[in-house]
Amino acid sequence: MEFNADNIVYWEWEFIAINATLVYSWVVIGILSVGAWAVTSRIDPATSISRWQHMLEAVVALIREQIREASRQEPDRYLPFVGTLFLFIVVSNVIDVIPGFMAPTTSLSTTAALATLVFCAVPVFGIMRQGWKGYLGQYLKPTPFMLPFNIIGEISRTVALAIRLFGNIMSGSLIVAILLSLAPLFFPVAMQAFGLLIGVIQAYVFAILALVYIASGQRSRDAEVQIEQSNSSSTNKSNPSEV
Amino acid sequence: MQIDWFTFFAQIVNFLILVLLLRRFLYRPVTEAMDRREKKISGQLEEARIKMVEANEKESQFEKRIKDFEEKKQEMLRQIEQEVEQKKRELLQKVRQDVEEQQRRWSESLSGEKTAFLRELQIETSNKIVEVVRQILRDLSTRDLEEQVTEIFIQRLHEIDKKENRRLVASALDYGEGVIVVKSSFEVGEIQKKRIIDVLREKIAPNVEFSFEVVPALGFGVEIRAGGWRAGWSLNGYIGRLRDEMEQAFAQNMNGNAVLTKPGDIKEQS
Repeated sequence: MEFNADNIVYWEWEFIAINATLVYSWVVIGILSVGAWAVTSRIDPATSISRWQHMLEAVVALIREQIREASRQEPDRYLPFVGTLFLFIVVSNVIDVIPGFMAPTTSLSTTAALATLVFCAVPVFGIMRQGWKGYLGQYLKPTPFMLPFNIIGEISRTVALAIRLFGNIMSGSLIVAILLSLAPLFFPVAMQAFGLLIGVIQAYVFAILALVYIASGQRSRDAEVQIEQSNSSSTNKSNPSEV
Repeated sequence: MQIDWFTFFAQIVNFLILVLLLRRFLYRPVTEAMDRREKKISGQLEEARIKMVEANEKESQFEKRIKDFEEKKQEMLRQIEQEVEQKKRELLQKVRQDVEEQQRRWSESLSGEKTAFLRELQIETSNKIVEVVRQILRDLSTRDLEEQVTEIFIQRLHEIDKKENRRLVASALDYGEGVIVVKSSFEVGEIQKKRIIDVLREKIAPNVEFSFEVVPALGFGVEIRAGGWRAGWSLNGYIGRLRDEMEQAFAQNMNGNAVLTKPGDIKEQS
């Protein structure tokens, strides 16, 4: 039994190999895109809307609210990236219970790609907000001596992201496969259900961690700005003659 | 557990494509629709709030106006009530006066009619009494009674005083051409005639002439007339006096009667 979707190759040409990971990823992309298009093509801003539109609005509103709470900032900047992370991972994990489907997130390549995207998104969002100097200067804080540790920390949390997601999803499929050979019907079904829960939770964890990493890259700058403002206001109060 | 690098990079590309697709087909339309709806609802809520404020202001204005109208209405009602009360009093007073006037006229008319009726009644009564008495006396009239009447007449003649005597003489000479007429309702006997003549001559003059006439209309009696002077006894005299006394009595009775209505009999209606 093949547990790694990368090894299931449908088509290959030189270094280009269309494997199950890619195919099922395209399925997920198709489901998300076509589903969104089908609903939003008839979107209505009125107060009486369809159930599908209502569901989409509920999902988007929930993601926005989570982003707002976690980052303490306007969510629309991070919504496309973080929201897509969550939706892609959760749909990928959920289709794993469908017989014949394999979750793309069971492939380390997929989770590593997603983690790499998060790793790249942190400096991109940071530089967009603070500029090159402002963002890169964080790595020298509190002292330049901390630079290697900051870099190692960035890399390690990215690896942790990838491994965490991969391990949880892949292990769920592995346990089901093992149990099928030992005690069919009941335990595999229970584990599949458990796997669904784990899949949703892991999608949420991945998205929240990504958001936290992105927001933390900007929070230090915001904290510095707040400290400067509080220092200037206390200086004005102690010297009233300057008013 | 091995990373397929082609898959790795392909997944990166896939994810970026997915981000663009979802941004185009999911996030933007949905957030725009939600924002439009929120603005619309906010606008409607704000409009409703403004309308509520306006409605409250209008309500308070209307309440104030209604209160003013109510006060004015009460004031006008009070004025109207006072005017109506005044008018009612005036009308009642006028009606009372009219009624009193009418009552007075009725009283006067009634009094006049009563007076006329009583007058008629007394005249009729007097006439009837006289008629009855005449009839009685006529029925009772005998020789003895006639002689009694003549004797009474003669006694009356004896009672004529000097003053009356002179007047009799003057009248007889002025108007009667010296003749004195003795009238009676019955035929006086010769003896009575002589006695009458003797008395008269004694009283008036010895040479006065006398004549005797029978006048049934005298009403049982004897009298003597000389020009404007008269003396005698007759039933008509008594009846006349009776009539006078009856008239006097009726007049006193009518003056002493109370009026039929008083001014205070008409009461006010509330």
